[in-house]
Amino acid sequence: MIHAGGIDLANRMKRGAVPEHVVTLGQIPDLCGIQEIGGRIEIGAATRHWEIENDPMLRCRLPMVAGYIAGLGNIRIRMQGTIGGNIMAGEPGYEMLPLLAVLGADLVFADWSTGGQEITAAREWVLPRASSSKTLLLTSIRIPLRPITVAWNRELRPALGLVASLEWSGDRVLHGAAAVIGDHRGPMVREHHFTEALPAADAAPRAANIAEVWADKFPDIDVLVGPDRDYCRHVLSVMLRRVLHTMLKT
Amino acid sequence: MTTRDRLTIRLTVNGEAHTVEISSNLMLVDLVRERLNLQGTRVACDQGACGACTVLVDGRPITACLSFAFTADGAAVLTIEGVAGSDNTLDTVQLAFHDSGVPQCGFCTPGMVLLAKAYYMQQPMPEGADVERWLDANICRCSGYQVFRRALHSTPPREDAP
Repeated sequence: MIHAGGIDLANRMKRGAVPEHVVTLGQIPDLCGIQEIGGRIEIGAATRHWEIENDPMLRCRLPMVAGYIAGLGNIRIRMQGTIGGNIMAGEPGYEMLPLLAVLGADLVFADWSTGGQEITAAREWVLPRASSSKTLLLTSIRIPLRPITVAWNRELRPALGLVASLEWSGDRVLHGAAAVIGDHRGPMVREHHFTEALPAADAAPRAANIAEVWADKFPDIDVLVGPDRDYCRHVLSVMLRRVLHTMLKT
Repeated sequence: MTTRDRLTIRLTVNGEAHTVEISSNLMLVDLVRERLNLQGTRVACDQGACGACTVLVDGRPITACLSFAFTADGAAVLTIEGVAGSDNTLDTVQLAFHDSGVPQCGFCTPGMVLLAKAYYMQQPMPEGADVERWLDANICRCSGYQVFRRALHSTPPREDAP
């Protein structure tokens, strides 16, 4: 079992897990750090949340990522936990994977069995189950630098959360992606393509309508919150409308 | 450090060097409480939520109940017993807590003091929402949060503050 920050491993051992071997990777320099490389930000998997949140370059280039991470857990957990652990722990309430999904990020793995590299879109990553990830070691996360705004709503945490992004061309909205936080199966991501590139000033009054259409793209939302599908859909549309307002204002 | 069930680590705790043989699954909180007999560090939730077990490792506030002791190999650990000076003069943060009448039941106080000290070490001039963001990491069952907040706000700016 891999150990870096150690939070989830320790908790699992307290619940009875007995790993045969523990390999600790937290201090390997190549797995830590943040850099800008050719139009993307690359974050080492063993980088702690606190380091990401306070990295001057990241705060300048992707301020919304720093802001989002500042709301994870608490200061003790962010100083100890790593971004790789947040993703690979496979806990449905953990919030990094949905953010990375709406940012269009990739997860870079080293494959122990082949010695090669595997790159998977964050939005397609299925949370690890016993056999599926045994030979894969997450080494870094690549976030493309695009004209994008991000907003989130965590007010119903831990039952349900939402993070969304809008991609821009000048002052026009082209495309949106929203991911639900809390799904056991991986980030539940749905896209919304604006039929015509919409100026923000025109999109803002239509946020409620856009949210209604967008919410219909989450037909299985009730598996997260409860059996009343109409209520779940309503809650989701409210969250979508609020994050849309936030993004269109900025 | 070796890859065995038992290993030897070297660390500094409250300024004092220690070499200890530990089992690989020993938690840091058990090392300081049971092996080094520093029982000011509390155990409450034992799952990283409450912060009663907060210690500083190389200046960072750490959840000692979720940290393996071997991760402190080579590190400087500060527990509540090491916050005051060797002549028992209270640290600046301890003084502010004392003067604000912080202690109620006192169970969370060691963790709160260390959390506040870590903040004070990072931020020479405690201010505004930043204080709240730090202090919300730890739980006070007596709900004395406003007193903790006042205490940290009343901590004088560090001498190197701009």
